[in-house]
Amino acid sequence: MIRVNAILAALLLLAAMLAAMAGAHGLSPALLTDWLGGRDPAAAIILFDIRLPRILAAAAVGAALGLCGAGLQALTRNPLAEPGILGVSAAATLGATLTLYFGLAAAWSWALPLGAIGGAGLVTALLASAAVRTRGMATLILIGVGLSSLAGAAMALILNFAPNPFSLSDLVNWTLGSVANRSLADLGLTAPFMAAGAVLLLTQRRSLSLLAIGEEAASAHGLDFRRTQIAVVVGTGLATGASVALAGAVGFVGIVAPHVVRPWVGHDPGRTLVPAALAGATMLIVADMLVRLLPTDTELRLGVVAALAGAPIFLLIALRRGNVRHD
Amino acid sequence: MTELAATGLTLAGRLADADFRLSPGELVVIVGPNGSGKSSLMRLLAGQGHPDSGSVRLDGNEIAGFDPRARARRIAYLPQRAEVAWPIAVADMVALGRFAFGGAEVTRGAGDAGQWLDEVGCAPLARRSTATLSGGELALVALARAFAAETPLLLLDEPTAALDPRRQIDVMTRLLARSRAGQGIAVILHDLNLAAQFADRILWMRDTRIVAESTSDAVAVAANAAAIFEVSVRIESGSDGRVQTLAVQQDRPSRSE
Repeated sequence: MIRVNAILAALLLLAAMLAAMAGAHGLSPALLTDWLGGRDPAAAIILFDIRLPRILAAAAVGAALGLCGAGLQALTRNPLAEPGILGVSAAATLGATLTLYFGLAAAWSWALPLGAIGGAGLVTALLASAAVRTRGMATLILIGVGLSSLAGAAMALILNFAPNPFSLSDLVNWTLGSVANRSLADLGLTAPFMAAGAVLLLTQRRSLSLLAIGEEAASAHGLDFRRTQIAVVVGTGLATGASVALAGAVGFVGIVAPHVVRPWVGHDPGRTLVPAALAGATMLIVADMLVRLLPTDTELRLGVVAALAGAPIFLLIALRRGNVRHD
Repeated sequence: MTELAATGLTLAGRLADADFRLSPGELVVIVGPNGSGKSSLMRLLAGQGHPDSGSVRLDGNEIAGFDPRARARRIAYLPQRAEVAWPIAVADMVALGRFAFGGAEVTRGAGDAGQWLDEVGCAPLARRSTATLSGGELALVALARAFAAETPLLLLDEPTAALDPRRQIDVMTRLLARSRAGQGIAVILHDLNLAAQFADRILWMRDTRIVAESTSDAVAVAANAAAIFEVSVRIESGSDGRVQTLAVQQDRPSRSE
């Protein structure tokens, strides 16, 4: 368990170091040695003002999404669950695009992050109040699907009425997902929400392990199911909302990261949380590095790469799951 | 001394006015036709869900007022259907039975799982993945998990339903030994043979009600079985009056109503 986390943390560090060397002209270790030797003042600017915020943003978003995915999968006892399933991502994206559409984001730079967190917070509150009244997990998922569709419809409406092609491309860009040009200030505004969400999820570690034996048996062994349900929903809302605020919609990390690490921790859902966060962070750092290294005319978006890599794995899990007996 | 006592338990359409008491050291068997309210009764006794009326008291205190973990340290309840959502190791599943005692106990439980698995004859399965188990094996591992809680009281909903005849007898023998060691055990069974051979008391349920309570004395078992299941039973009893074998036959049409 500790060994798994240590290995994943080492991988994360390695990926971050590689990403620090990665630029428009390939990998250049010289930049790091220049900065260490103090030979080139520009090296420090490139490293700390441009690449570090981007790497930290990718790591934070990846960790938040990986953790949320693992938490939701443990709660729903379904390996295909992800932050998107409860409609939190969609609502956060809607909140962000609303601030873009009404020009608030242009007038006040913090409007967009606050809009995304507001959207996620609203849906989270709705889900949490529903969670108090409904005991079954299927009901909660259906509510999430409904909210997700509603947010999607509102998004389509906004795109439909976008005032000009320029603002339309602005809106579309947001839905693609990226960590380019993020500042430490952007990170500072969103990181506390991610941290709060992560802490909430991690307090439910043991309860989520117990939930593997089903709701009724887990309750019989002393699980307060409603408390766990609410903590996971609120924690997911906070962390996902903040990550959408920072990077837009980045899908599938929440499904793939837990799936990759699960066999290493004996498939224990509680023990999957931390490794899934570490793996999610590493995956997004690597994906963002690819985005920067691949020679494309138009900037390739992180969300697109994540989806292209993640969606086939999602399908693979779904197909394999269809073959095994499941009740 | 942990004692469970219920009075006037009622749950619309499923359970009517049920009184129940379970004390340490006794093995109580609950029998009755499908849908007669056995599982509903046991669920309420375990503090799962709320009755429409009536109360369940654990050591004199209303069970609904207990912190879930405090309750789970006194009563272990095994639901009818064993399930596991992820292919976790058998030993890890058994260790989850220690949840109410804290995280360190769950970790230690994974190492000690062998003793509880041994009780259900499944020690060799400890390192297997739960995904590879048969239905009967999974039921036995779930029972080992309930044993792992080491609670004063144990409520088991049909723990023998998926088991072969030999395993059924082994499980009942273990339950009897545990009750003689001081645990209070209530168990739902469909096999009248097992009920008659192992029970200290038998509760007979029909149409959402507890209609009779008897000892496992041959005469009492024969009379109640005939009345409640509308079957006739042929019983061979030993010199002590306890049932040795019990055969169920279709009710004779000549029986007068």
